[in-house]
Amino acid sequence: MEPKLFEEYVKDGTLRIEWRDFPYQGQESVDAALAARAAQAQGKFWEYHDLLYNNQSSGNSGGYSEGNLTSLAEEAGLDRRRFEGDLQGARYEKTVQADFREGQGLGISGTPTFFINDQVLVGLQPLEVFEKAIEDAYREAEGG
Amino acid sequence: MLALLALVPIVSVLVGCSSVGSGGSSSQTSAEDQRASQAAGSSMGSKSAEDSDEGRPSKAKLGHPALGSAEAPVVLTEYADYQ
Repeated sequence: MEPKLFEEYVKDGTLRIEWRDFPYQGQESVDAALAARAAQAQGKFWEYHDLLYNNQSSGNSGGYSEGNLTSLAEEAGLDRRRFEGDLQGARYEKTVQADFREGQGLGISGTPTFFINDQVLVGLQPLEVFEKAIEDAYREAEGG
Repeated sequence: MLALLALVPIVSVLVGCSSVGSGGSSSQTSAEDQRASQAAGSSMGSKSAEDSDEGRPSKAKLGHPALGSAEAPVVLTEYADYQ
């Protein structure tokens, strides 16, 4: 989470940021999403989310193996047995799939894709782009 | 493919410029975010989930992870892949 956006817009109640899983790049994408939701069940989604990106893997190369995901869970201070049970049982598979289907229904074909109220931003953008989109959306929401 | 790999989610980008790899501030922000979310009534980290017995599978139905007030006039929804 960009500290500046958080400081500028989330803290004062202007902005809410919501996460949706769109694991379209293979099994490890799905596994990472399931692991993050298992962390969420223990109240540590964002901590685990940050750890995933700090240890980002690509190409289904084993970076998000069960062992690595579990190591990150321990690093995040999660209950390991509970985490493993949730991950191995794919306990939140339906939750992740629901997000994915929702994204498909919106026509998403790549990540990251952002919706800022009605505005759509596809791909990485400079901070200034997000700031402008947020401020435009705020003015519109406030009737300005 | 390279283009897709380059598209790291905002939370990373944004943090990427500052948070990825800077555990101190990231952890602090995360903790603040969690509190903000809980205060906003998010299902993230709900009491029922956290009260599950140690080692037992979770029972809670999860909502969308979120930061900030549910009443915020602007909502940024991010669809992302961890790879």
